[in-house]
Amino acid sequence: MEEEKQYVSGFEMDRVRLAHAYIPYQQYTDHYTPARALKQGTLYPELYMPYQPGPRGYY
Amino acid sequence: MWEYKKILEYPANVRRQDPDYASLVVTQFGGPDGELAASLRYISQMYTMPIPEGKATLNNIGTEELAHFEIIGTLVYKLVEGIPADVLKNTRFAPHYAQHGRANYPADAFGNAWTASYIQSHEDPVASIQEDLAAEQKARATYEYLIDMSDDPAIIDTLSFLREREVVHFQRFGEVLDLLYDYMDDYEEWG
Repeated sequence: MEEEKQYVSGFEMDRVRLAHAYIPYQQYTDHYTPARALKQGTLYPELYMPYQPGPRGYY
Repeated sequence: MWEYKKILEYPANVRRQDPDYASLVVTQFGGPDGELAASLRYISQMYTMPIPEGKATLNNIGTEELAHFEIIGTLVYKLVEGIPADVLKNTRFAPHYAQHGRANYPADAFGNAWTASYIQSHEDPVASIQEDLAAEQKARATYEYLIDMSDDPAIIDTLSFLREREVVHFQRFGEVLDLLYDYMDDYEEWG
């Protein structure tokens, strides 16, 4: 299960401050075909997080 | 100015009409976490955003949310179009029919009219962007509740697309937040 999660490399932990929110900057890796991207709602596999109903109720 | 294209950003199909579901999904038309609120929030916040990337992101996403408002409006209308009043009166849609007929109206699932009180716009850019991050999460969660309550695969398909866009928008606002921290650090050093 853990391997399925997408971790982000290169996140600069040394510039993280208390009481600030951070979202890692996206780095380009790969893209879907335009037809698939228009269908799924994103061009990028690492941002495709479809809803999976379950106890966590989240992707 | 805006340019209009007479196509939907994503198809809004329904397998069968369902006035009860229309009165629920309407919350993404005119509810607190709906597409109208999202669009007007971002387009209002845009002017005081101090970095061009922030302005562009708010303008771009605010524009797309208006296209989503159109998709949800199409869904709601397809769910009730042409259904006779004597059928509608026995559904959750009856109060809507009493006040609006089958016309779309920006209200939430309880029937409360849309209000600008749903949104906030701050000159402080970090405060505004964090509101936008929260808005994207609340919209994503709302789409999940709506998907949970539908058994129409065509509706679920459209709502799943809109939900994924919320995920992508969250990422983009997060990147703006990071750029704002850089901007403010530079401002402190050189300003």
